[in-house]
Amino acid sequence: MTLSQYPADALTPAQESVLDGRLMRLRDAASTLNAPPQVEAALISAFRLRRARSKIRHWREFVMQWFAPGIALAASAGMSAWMVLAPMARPVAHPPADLITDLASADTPFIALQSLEQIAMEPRLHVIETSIPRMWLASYGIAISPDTAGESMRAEMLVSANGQPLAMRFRP
Amino acid sequence: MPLTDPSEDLALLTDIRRGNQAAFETLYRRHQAPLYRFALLRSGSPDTAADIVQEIFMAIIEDSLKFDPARGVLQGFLFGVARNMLLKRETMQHRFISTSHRPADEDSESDVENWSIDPTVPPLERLLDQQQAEAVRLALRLLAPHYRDVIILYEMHDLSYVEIAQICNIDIGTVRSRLSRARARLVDLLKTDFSGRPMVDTGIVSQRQLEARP
Repeated sequence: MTLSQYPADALTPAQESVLDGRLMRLRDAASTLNAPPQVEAALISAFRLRRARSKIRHWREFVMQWFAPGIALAASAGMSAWMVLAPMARPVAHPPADLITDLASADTPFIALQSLEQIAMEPRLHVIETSIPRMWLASYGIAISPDTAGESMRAEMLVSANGQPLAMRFRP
Repeated sequence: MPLTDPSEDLALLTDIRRGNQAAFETLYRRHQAPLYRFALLRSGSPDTAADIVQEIFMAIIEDSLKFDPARGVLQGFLFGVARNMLLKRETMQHRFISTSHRPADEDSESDVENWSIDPTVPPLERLLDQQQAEAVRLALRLLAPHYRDVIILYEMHDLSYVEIAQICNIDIGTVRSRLSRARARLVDLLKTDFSGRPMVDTGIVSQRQLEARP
């Protein structure tokens, strides 16, 4: 078969052989070609940066996953404790002079702890003698000295039938 | 025929996702050279080839490649990614084709001297070998891209028809016919002129044809 008898894209064995030889030379010549070293350096640098960012993200996620509920709980507890223990500025309702006179024979007046209307509505009142920490007064907006804050003091408490403190006065 | 062990590649990818730098370096050193050679022969530009390699491995670092081991080996997948990147670049180049007459392979000329030099081969023979290799390289650049893909992957990387079909998203019959036509076209391009030198060796023909390329 002559060359002209081959189909357009078919090669003679000789052509195949020459082409294979040439392709082999190109293959050999290219066999040691590598990407430039700066490519590897840039990639490793990018890898380290990515890893560092990833570590920070994972740490943040870990903290959020494991410590967030605890932090929230502690915050709630702290808030609750503050609400219970912290001094609150409550307006002190001063009872009218005639009620004070009625309630106490002594010269020290009672201090209303509830509204005067509520005290007036109570069917049965009791006066009990007790000892209270001075700190407790602060919760009713009464100024106390830090020097004596830890001490106790005697007081008379006006309480309702169900034991609710309504008013109090200090006893010397 | 994959040049690397697919299962090892998978293990390396897993380690890379866990932040193992050594695994990344190993995977890079396994695959960079074939990818670089493919991109270089496909594009004719060392800069483009280096960019392609860098982009592929950056995508591995970012874990943005959707490699499915069930659909083939990593090496074939990476060749496919490189090919797609090259096609995108070609599309962009055609869209914004320059009116200047900068030779298409201006930067590739300097790369020829860096190609493999075997010190055991006598200088004259080495020179002839290099000339012939360069002639084939230039002839490859004159092939249509879809012919270039199959012949580079088949002749330079020993990939099977099946692997080439997967990489190029074509059927095996098309791989065969493209390979056959690519080889015939190469023979045409490498035909000797009346002085006995291959036409692409003269440089004049290749330059003229390169400039005439779309």
